[in-house]
Amino acid sequence: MIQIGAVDFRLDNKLGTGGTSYLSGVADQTVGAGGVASIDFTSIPATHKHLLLIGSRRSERALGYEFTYIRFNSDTGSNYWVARHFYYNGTTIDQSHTAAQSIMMGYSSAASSAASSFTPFWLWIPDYASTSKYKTVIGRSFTFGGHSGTTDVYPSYHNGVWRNTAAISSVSLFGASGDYAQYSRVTLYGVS
Amino acid sequence: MLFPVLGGALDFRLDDRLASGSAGNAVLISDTTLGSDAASVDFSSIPATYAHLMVVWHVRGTKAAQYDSLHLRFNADTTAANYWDCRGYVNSTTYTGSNANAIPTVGWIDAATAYTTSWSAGTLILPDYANTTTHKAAMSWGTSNGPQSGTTSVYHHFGTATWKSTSAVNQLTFVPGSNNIAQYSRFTLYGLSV
Repeated sequence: MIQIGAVDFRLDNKLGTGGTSYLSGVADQTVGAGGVASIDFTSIPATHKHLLLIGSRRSERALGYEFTYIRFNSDTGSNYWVARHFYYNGTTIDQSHTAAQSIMMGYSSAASSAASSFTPFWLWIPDYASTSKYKTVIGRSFTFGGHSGTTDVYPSYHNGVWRNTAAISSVSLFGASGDYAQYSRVTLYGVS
Repeated sequence: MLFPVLGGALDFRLDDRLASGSAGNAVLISDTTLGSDAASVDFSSIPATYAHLMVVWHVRGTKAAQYDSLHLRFNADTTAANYWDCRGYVNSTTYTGSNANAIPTVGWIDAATAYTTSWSAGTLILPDYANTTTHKAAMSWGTSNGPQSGTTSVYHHFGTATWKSTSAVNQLTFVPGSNNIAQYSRFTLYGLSV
């Protein structure tokens, strides 16, 4: 359907065609009532080239925001490097850490954020199955607080390194202290 | 298969899923290249059958300036109060953040007086767009290139476009800040399955 001064595509006919894809949905999780302390993907096969996680998250922590961290293969040792860049209240902040026990991957909306608001995010783990290199993760997220002013607004660019050459077979996302809230959703894709 | 583990975590064992051959895809829903200047690009009747949506664009505007903004409406809702436009952008060395109840900006685009062959790239993801419980928030980034000399009119955008509605999203409409989206601009909409 073409409208005057606009282009309008009716999708019904197109959808039947499908198409070749290099993105495979591996697992999809939506948090149920009561929340969960972490969202874990285990037994990830080494059959893809890269991993991609897409989702939206909210924490039950009693603040306007909550941190999100990631770990690989259940490694809780001080084996992670972290670098991040984010903006808050008119200030841009760059930080890095060595010998961290996880990698901070941005923020989440939390209990004091605007009702029903969830933080969109994605993160990439390239060449996750390599056994020759340390693994790197890069992600973006945007936490936007209370729908007014700049309080608890965190656009963030995060990346980090897991200092291990093992193939990644499990990924865990978790907060500093609060559970992920009901309706948080994360999908893990394998990219071929 | 769900395996409850310590700390109340959600844990998915993937072996069974992968063996079943039920892996999902990034499905091309629609791809359009404008044959002539247009006031908007509209994807309508988006089905609720995917987990997430992703849009990629390569765009130029017709505004008589070096750059323009690109905006996004959900489900044809034109009421500014129903949106939360929260974003930041960098021009030269300056970062500027803004937050408002407004039709959200999802990127900056080259316009009529930008470098003649310069087109702006951008993308967004819209997680869990079909749920009927939470507000919807798309995360986007897109950059204008300006005259390709110095830093004038080079804007790197990163933000969220929040629609304060629990309705499933079935329509996305891209509109420029003023004038039209130029001929040859291209928008591609993907559905991400699981």
